[in-house]
Amino acid sequence: MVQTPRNFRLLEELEKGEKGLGSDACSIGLANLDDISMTNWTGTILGPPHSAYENRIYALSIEAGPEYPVKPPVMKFLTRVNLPCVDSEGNVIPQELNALAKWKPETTMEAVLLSLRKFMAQPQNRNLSQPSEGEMYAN
Amino acid sequence: MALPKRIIKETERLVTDPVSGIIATPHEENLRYFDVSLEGPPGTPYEGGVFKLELFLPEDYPMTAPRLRFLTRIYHPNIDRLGRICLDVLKDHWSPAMQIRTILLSVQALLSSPNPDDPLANDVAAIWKENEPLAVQTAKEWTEKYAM
Amino acid sequence: MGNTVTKEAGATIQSSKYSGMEQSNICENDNTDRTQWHLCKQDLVHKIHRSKRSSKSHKKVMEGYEMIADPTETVDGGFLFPQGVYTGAQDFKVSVVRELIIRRKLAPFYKGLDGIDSSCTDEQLLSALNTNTNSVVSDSHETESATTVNSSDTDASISTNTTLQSENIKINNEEQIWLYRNVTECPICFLDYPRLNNTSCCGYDICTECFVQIKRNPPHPPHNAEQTGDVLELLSEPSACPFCARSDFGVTFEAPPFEWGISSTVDPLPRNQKSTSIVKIDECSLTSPTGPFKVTIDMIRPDWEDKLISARAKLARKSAAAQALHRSAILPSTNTHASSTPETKHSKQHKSRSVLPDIRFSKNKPKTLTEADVQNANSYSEVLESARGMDRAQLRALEKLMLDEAIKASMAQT
Repeated sequence: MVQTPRNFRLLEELEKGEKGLGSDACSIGLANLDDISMTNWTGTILGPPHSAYENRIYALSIEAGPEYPVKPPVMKFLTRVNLPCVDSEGNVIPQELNALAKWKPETTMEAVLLSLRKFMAQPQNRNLSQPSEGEMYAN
Repeated sequence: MALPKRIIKETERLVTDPVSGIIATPHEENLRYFDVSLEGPPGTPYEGGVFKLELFLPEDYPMTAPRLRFLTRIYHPNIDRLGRICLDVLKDHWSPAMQIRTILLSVQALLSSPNPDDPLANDVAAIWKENEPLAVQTAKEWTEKYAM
Repeated sequence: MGNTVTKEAGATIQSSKYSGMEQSNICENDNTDRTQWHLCKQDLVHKIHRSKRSSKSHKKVMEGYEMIADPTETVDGGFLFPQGVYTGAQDFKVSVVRELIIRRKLAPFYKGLDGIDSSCTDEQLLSALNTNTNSVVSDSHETESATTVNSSDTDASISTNTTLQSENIKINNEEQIWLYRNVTECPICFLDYPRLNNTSCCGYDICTECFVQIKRNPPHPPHNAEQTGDVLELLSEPSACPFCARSDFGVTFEAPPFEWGISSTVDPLPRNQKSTSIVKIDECSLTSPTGPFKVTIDMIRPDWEDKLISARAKLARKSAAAQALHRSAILPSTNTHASSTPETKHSKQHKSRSVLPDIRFSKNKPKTLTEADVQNANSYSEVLESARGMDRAQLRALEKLMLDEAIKASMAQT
């Protein structure tokens, strides 16, 4: 297998977003366009329909470390959310989310966001009561 | 997967017959991934600077172009803040008859002749067109700040 | 006998590893008898055809290999299928290339030698030839070990994969030595070949292995599309010459003064599968005495036009869907959109909005316009059809969706 180095892999993910080739329900972007190391990203999830999350936009911070994509990204919700795989500070608990627990280097940041969205739509999570819209976690 | 003969030979030839002002060294753990250093061409605002780039040969190289990016910050209308380069031979004008060597020479040539009419960094291009002396001055300052 | 491979049953093979394994399994008890081989082939074709039917989604990647390469077939000491210099999917028309090679209009796929010293012994040359292969018949392990062997270290590389070679492929050793004593390096893959094609524009050498990899650029908008707003007009230019960049790229091949293997005078296709649709080569130009025959990329990839048409249709659908979505979102209330930058897809919809006819919505058929609807709709009017059935609440939801898009886009920009 030809192994794409971290930086070129991240550029591919960035360009997919820039060209609008990604999913309509989730998006990723660089937190800082001057960051040549491309470590800090922001992500958004559009809450799935027919759920307590519907019509809300969830913002996340994503950190792609130096060993990405061999190691998974670290994700944190910025928008308050009540979801079993998210701790009280907004951190996504890797063990609780399949896409992170069974991380493969082919998985993209967008794919993790999509799996979070799917997690929201699961029957046991769909109707969890949610904080009022627009509330953010304290840093 | 074994490395295609072409890549092995190109790498050997880069070592035995280097291009002046350009050094390309493959990473030990990934022989398709190169660290590149490129000297700013004389007579340009980049003169005296040594710019670091990274280069990757994708699976279908040489049928597709190498991927290339500046790691050293540079003030140039065709290079954006992430170091991405707008250069036709890296995109649809790539030909499998070109090599790592030719592509790096093209980048050197791009430093000698910025093209603000086909910009990647819009802000830089605007200044380049409106006030070229100021742009050249800024490019010099950036070279001193980041590439020396 | 000869009717074992038909176009319909066209076996499609994408992975050389897979085909290699299949073929070698089947041929174990075959003794290289051609009759047997064809029976085997028929078996394989049916097997693959069955699997093809069950997995239609793979069809796209696999087309091209509509005929199985027979590893025993040789022309002038070379082969009729790639020898593994390139490992990606092979998407050229195998039947066309095969015919061109048999008719001596294109160099056969010779094995590329890797910088063999001209002072090497015949034995060293032969062992290099037998180990240097990544061919379809060798299994992937052998391929790896063979290609990682240092080029000068020919003694050490007398390795394992000669079995299949010697049993199935009958190229006389003396012929091989004679051929490979005089080789030329292909300037693209850097391997040495006994005979090469020449570009018709500038006369450069190019091996068949590299030639068949060259493609048209995928359909793309014109370079100045952003300025002209002509984003819907996708283009696809013929491949340019890799050496001189001239646009009428093609290669010619000077047939050798000898003829080994399959004769150029036989009909390359067994009688019963001779179908006009398989090979679209002008018979007249093949036999024409005026000048050498020029092989172009469009000849070996005749599907370029279909691809262009389908890319255009897809874009038109996507654009119509996006416009309808946008239109339906903004109609009920006035413009409440966040502004977004020109790079986002959102604004592209915005730009082209004015060309749309007015849409009237009725409430009598409540329906939700889903993403799937939009993607599956075959035309602009179908999308409109879907959008018409939506009620106000759904339209508001859509509007919200579009607003969200804009917010997302602006967040991504910061």
